[in-house]
Amino acid sequence: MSQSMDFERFMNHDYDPVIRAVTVACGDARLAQEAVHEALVRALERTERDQTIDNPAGWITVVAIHWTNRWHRRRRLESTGFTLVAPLNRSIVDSDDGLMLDIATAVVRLPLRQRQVIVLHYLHGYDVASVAGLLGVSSGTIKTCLSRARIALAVSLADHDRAGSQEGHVG
Amino acid sequence: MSAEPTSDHRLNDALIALSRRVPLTGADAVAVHADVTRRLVRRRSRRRAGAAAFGLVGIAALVSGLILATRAPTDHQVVAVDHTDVNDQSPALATEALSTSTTTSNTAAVATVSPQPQATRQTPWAEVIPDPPLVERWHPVLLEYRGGIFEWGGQVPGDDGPDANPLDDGAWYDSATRAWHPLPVSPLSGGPAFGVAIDGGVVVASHAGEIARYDGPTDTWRSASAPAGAANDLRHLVTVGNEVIFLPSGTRWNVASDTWSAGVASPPLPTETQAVTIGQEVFVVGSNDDQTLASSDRHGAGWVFSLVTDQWTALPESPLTGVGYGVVVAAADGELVVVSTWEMNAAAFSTSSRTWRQLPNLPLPALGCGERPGIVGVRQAIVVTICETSAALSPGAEYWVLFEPPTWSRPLSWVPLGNDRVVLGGHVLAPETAGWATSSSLEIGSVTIGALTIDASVRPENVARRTENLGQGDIPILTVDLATIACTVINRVEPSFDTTSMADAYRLSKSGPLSVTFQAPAPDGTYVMTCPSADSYEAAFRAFVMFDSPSAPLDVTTEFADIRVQGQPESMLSTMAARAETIGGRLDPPGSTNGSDLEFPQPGVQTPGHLYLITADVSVVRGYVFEVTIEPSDAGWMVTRAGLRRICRRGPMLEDPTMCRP
Repeated sequence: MSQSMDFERFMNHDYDPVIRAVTVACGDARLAQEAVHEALVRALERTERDQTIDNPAGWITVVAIHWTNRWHRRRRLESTGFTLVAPLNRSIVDSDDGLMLDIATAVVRLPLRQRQVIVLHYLHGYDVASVAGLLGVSSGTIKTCLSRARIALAVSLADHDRAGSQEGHVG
Repeated sequence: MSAEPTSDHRLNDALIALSRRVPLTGADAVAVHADVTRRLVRRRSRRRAGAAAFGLVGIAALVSGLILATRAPTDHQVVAVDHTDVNDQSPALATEALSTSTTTSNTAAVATVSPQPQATRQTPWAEVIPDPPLVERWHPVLLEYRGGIFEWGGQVPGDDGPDANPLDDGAWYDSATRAWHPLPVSPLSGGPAFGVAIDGGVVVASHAGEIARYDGPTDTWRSASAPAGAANDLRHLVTVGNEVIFLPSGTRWNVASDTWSAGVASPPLPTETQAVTIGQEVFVVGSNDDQTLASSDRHGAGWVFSLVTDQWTALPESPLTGVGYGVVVAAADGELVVVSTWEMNAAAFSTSSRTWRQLPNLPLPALGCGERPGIVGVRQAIVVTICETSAALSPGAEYWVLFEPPTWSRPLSWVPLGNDRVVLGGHVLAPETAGWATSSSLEIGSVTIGALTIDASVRPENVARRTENLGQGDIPILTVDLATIACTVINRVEPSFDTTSMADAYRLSKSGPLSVTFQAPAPDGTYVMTCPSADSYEAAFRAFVMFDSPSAPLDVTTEFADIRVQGQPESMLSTMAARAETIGGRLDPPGSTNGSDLEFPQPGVQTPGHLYLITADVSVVRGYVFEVTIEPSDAGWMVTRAGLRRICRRGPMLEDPTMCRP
């Protein structure tokens, strides 16, 4: 491929982690794969224009999550109702695993930017500066996003803990 | 609600644990490369088509006509293909894979196959509608009005939500003068909207709940003094006589007398619904109630509203599976047709017998170009389109028929004109002239590479039907004699005969010498050939693997990874070993993974009785497997039968695509 992106290397090292990250962000493994492949197309077009991609895994993750967001919005609008709520494919979590279901639900309901930040930071392990570079915003913005996302996700974890505690008392 | 920020450590662990539960498909680099390359080609094709839609068609046609005069092959001129094996290339995203030079030669060692008369394809395109004088937009009101087309509102394409970038202009197409006329400024604020033609005008309701009426004869808009909540959470507009019913509120507006009345509100509807009126009933079908998440796998929950009794009743559960991402609905000949937009399976509900019947799965991809399918129904056909490819189902027909408009202009699509024509891709299609109802053919499959789409089809009389009991009840099996298959090559983008694209297509799909002769192009830009199936085992096998492939692979070796011996989930290695063993180990040592024994069989070699193969990946037509039967013949190994076999007689499948739910 181009000098700026080694497809084979991406497939060997980054493809699965990116699929996982995008799946967590959008809640659907099949849609995530579709989105990652669409992002790869954009990556190819970008390299054809001699534009470099310094961090293919991060770049494709960002583009793919954005694509899933767009896909949902467009589909919802076309389906009438104008309701914009990301769905969750339960297949990515066990139906009897309350914590996973709670956290998955909480993630897909985060705003787009927060979802991108969460998966880039926690799943890809990028630091704040790297995430900021990928998203083209300041580090302060990323910190704010992370903080808000943590609060939102903390609610899910706390709710789960509370429910577990109550079950323990009953039991 | 507030909460303390959770610890990074715990959140990190939870997210990683969640990510590890993501089921991976195990896609290999070559398969991903093939898929991405296909998407890239399609994306480029769309751009070219889009450019053509903006007025370049005429210029291109003129230029290409000149080129055609000098370059187009004549009858029986052979298009030979270079034998560069793309399989040998590293799976890099290299555009070179799409542009390898090719040669045209009359000296290639290939046999000539005479083209057979066109069996299935006619030209039902009646008219081309010029582009509206409006910017490209999403979600406008687009409907038939006064024999022409009314378009208003919508939003600038983008993903910024329904409130962003609203458009408040519109135009009306007068079919008599074949001209578009801009609409006057409306009292609505613009954006996505619903509309319905009634009483000589058009009632438009915006997603913000505003309602106005456009009157064509006076070319004026008038705001409606609607009661509060009339258009809340608006889903659909239905007309009854001079009344418009706003759903789900049930509020009625008599447009003639300008009086409003309360109606019967609908039951709680799923998040995503579509509606269609058939006779005196409004069918509202939907799925994917996100509010509970638990109903994401519901099967097309539906409601029926009787315009006679003003009562809502539940629609019986449909046999659709996998409708978690919604459905699209249309009506034809008194039947409600519902298509799952995720699995692309379909069912029809008879308004007379009040029962569902399963329709054949659509021969279209559920995904692949990031679009949701469009659907429209008229008396003679249901038409579903995705990725610029359409399939039509005539009432009573058993098969979907694949077809494509000559060019594609997405903004003007899926608009019914009367009850017998539809606007599709900017063209007016008259389904009844297509002869689909009387000469429907089984579409074996379709491959799109570059500017070309290669369709294979067979006439129903050449499809043998039988049932077989494999422990799961009687399973219908269709088998096709390959010799009866006709192929149509549609040059759908390039107005000229593009030798490079044609050669690319064949090099990519069947890398080897092929006995193919093209006749001169038809006026509609299609070429007809006979599939070299019965003449060449190799070509036939490759063709059928290609036709069945959901990923349009670049090489048949890739597809071998998806082939397994019937009923035995095998790894690629063991699958190859099994095949080599069955063949007799003639060419490859045990455990060979290159599949050359199947790719290049030799005549006169000792043969087993037959080898039964099933493609493991049935995602393209979920619930079906594709069978190929290979048998010895005087000419050597030969694919003698191939076809789709339904796995489950009814009900959903389990995760294992070969297993039915008990």
